[in-house]
Parts: sequence; C-alpha cells; structure tokens
Amino acid sequence: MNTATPALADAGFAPLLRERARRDAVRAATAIAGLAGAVLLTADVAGFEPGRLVAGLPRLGEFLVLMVPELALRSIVEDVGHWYWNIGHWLMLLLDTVLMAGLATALGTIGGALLSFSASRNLTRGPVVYWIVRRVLEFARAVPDLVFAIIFVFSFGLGPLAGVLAIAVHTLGAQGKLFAEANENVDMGPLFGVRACGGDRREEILWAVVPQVLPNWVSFTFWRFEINLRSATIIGFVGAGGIGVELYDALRLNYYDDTGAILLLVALCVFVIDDASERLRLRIAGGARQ
Amino acid sequence: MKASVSLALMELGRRFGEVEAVRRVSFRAAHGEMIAIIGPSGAGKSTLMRLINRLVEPTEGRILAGDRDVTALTGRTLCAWRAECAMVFQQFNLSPRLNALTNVLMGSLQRHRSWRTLTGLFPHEERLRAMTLLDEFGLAHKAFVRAERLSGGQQQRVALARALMQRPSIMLADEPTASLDPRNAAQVMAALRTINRDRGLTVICNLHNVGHAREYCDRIIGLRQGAIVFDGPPAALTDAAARDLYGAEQDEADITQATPELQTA
Repeated sequence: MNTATPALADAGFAPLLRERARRDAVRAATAIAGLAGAVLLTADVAGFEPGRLVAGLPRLGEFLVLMVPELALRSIVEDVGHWYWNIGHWLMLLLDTVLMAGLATALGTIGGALLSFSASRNLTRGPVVYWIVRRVLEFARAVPDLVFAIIFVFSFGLGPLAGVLAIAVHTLGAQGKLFAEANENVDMGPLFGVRACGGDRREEILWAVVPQVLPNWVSFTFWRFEINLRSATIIGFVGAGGIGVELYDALRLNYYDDTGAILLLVALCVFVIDDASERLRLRIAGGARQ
Repeated sequence: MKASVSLALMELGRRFGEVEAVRRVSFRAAHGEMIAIIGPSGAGKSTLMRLINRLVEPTEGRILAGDRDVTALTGRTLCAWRAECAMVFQQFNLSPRLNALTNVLMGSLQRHRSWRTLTGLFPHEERLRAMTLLDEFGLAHKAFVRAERLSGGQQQRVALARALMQRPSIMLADEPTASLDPRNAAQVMAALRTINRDRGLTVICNLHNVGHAREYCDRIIGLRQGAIVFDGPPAALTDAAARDLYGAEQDEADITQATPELQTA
C-alpha cells in the first residue's frame, strides 16, 4: 500500500521544497515590512496625526448635529417642511446637476471611446499615434475637473456650460484609458476573422472588438456617471452651475441646516441613480461572457 | 460562382527575428485542387497559410494569383484579395457576441459601401443569401443565436458559411478540425471536400491529421522547419515518409505563436 511514499521522500525533493518555502517567507515578510514602513513614512510627511484625529472626532459629531435641525415626532411633517424650506429651488438645481453630469458623461464617453482604439496597443495605427493619444488622455484626466472648470468659467462665463465641458474633458481622459484597457484584453481571433473577410480597420473594430468590450464599457460608463454626479455637485463651487453654488453658499455662510438638507438631497439622488444604473447595467451586460 | 484562380507561391519566406518560419516555399496550386499541408507543430504551416492572404507579411518571395502580384497589394485591393481567398480558422474566429447570421454577413463586407458595413444595414438579398448558406449547413434555426452559444462544430460550420459568403475563388483552412471531436471533424472535412468539388474552389488546408489529408485531399505538401520536404499525391506519402516528416524535433518552439508584439511607448 504505502510503498510509493518512501520512494517519493527519497527523491531529494524535501530540501528543495524547504529552501523554496523559506525563500518565499522571507520575501513576503520583506514586502509587508516595506509596505508598512512606506505607509508610516507618508503619514508622517503628510502630517496625519492620530492624536488630532481622536481630539477632532467630537467636533465632527458636533457638525453633524448642527446640520440637522430639531425634529419632533409630533410635528415631523412641519419640521421637515421647515428644514426643506427651499425644496423647489433645490430640486431644480439638483436636476441641473444631474443633467450636467449626464451630458458630460455622454460627451466624454463618446470622445474617450473613439480615442480608446488608438490608445490600445493591439489596435493602434502605430507607435507614434499610440504615444500621442496616450499623452492626450493622461493630460485630460491628470488635471482635476475643478481646475478645468475655473478655466472654462473664465472663458465661457458662469453657468452649466463651463461645468459640463470641464467634467466632459476629465471623463474623456478617464474613459479613454479604461476603454483602452478593455480593448487590449479582447480575443484577437474574431478580429482576424473579420480581417480575413476583407474588412478594414474600422470594420474590424466595429464588428470584432466593440461587441466584446461593450458590456465592460457600459459598466464603466454608469460608474463614471455616478462619479460625475459628485463632480457636478462640487464644480458648482466655482460658479459652474448646478446645486454646488447653493451648497457652497450654505457652507460659507454657516447655514448648517441648509448644508445638511442639500447634502442629504444629493446623497438620496446618488442612491436612486446608483440603484437604477445597476439594474440597467445588469440588463445590458446580462449576456456578457463570464 | 467565380472561376478558380491559379495560385503560385515563389520562393516565399517569412522570418521572425532569428527564426525562419517559412523558407523558400514554392508551389503552384491548380484550379480546383484540394491540397493538404501537413507537418509537425512549429513547421510553419499556419504562417504559410497567413502569408497567402497577407494576415502575415512575407519577408521574401512573391505570390501570384492569375496575373496579379498578391505581395504588392495594399489598402482596398488587399482587402479585396482577402475577400477572394476566404479563410477558416482552428478557433473559428467568429465574433462571439454577434449572432450567426451577422457573422455570416461579415463575408459580404467587401461588396458594400461603408455606410452599410458600419451600420449593419446589409441589403435584403444579402441577408437572404446568408440565411440560405446557414441552411445549407443545417444551421438556419440557429441564425439568431449568438455565436458563443453554439457548439464547436456548429461554429465551424458558421465560419464555413461566412467564408462562402465572400464568394471566394480560393479557400484557406488553418487546422479547421483541430478543435473538434472526430465526428464534427469528419463533417467539416467532408464539407470542405464538397465545396471543392461542387463549387470548383481551390482548397488549401493545414491538417495535423495525416489520415484526413490522405482521405480528402488530391495532393499533400509536407512542411518541416519552414521548408517543403514532400509534395505529391496521397499515394506517394508512404508511412516511412510520413514518419520521417514528423521525425525528431518534437520540442521545436511553436513558431505560429511567435507574433511580434508592438513596441509600447
């Protein structure tokens, strides 16, 4: 029965395996120690002090309490009504914000999708085009959209146009990169199939690449929409339209209840959109390859 | 159906860095001939096949189709040549998320203007033709099923329909049966033979199954280390000759896999 086991042990593998396991353990320990050291170093450099964190926590609670007015159960409807005294105006601004985010996502995604092919190593027209498009995409997403917004407000004036453009440019950079990465992971077989049919580059991309990457693209796009909704909120701070202007005023003038009311409204909006986009995404990507 | 064009390879060669995948290959394929190319893995069979439709660029030699110099084609004329010599692949290479009918319609890309090929608005007659071809392979009922949902044998038959949709004069088949079970493999080989006989197409077929080569083909070309070492009718390929062909180098690197990577920035 057991005759095979001693033969295995005798083959001289044991020292080899032990040596290997020891080496792996040393490497893992070194990596963990290095990582921990790096985290501590950055925390020190960035002035992240646990003492201040602990001391500040009560004040965080204080701020949260300030943002919610007194709500009595007896008069809950009146109290909430009073809290949301400006709800009509806020909802209109919130709608503006959602539309800004949607339009910017659409524009940026279309641009990013078109550029993504030249930024994919497997589909690009050549190393020069690849290099240029990659740099363009990097620039578009390296500059924060708030900075773009300030520049565009300066050029195009106050209002949603500047905000939409700013977010669209940032979205183009982000989507272009993400899409390109999805493009680089496609199975190239179908592409050669279309090429062997006499298809040109556009036809190869449309019929062999796009069907493969579309589910990924859709899910990136919904995710980006959610990010852009937050961006569109913040971007109002510099006068680029939407509910941000109102939120900024409330914060600046220490209208704590208004701040709380608007933040809650934005959060609810994100929940609703997140839920809806999740459903839509699952339906569209339902048949995706596992 | 277009008349078959005679095809001549002249001193054709392809080098990947230090490796000579295909070296000085010359042969002439007659109208309506069915040729098997056999040889061990890494002998350069796939590369040779891809040189013919220029999926791989030759580094030496010339290809003539009739009086056209295939090696000199560029742009639209190159696409037209690819449409004229259809290819089926070992891995079928259908677009997995498109349905069978759309995959077959890809075979008609060359015949239509961009506004049709980039919108998918193919004319009704073409759609009908694609459907008829699917029906010929017993797959009309799968027309609206995504290619990825079909079995290997079904996918290869869709690929054959797509190839015929191109109205080719030459059919290239790169290991068309290697991913299939024996029954499906035999079906696909029989289909290729039928295409060759009934439509008069020249068929050139890479095979690793010497039995299939003997059974279905008029002529066998043996390739070893990129060069032709046998060329003759099945009867001339003795068991000794076949053994010799597959002989020693079992561990040769698989040249077909060695596609050079694009330099990244």
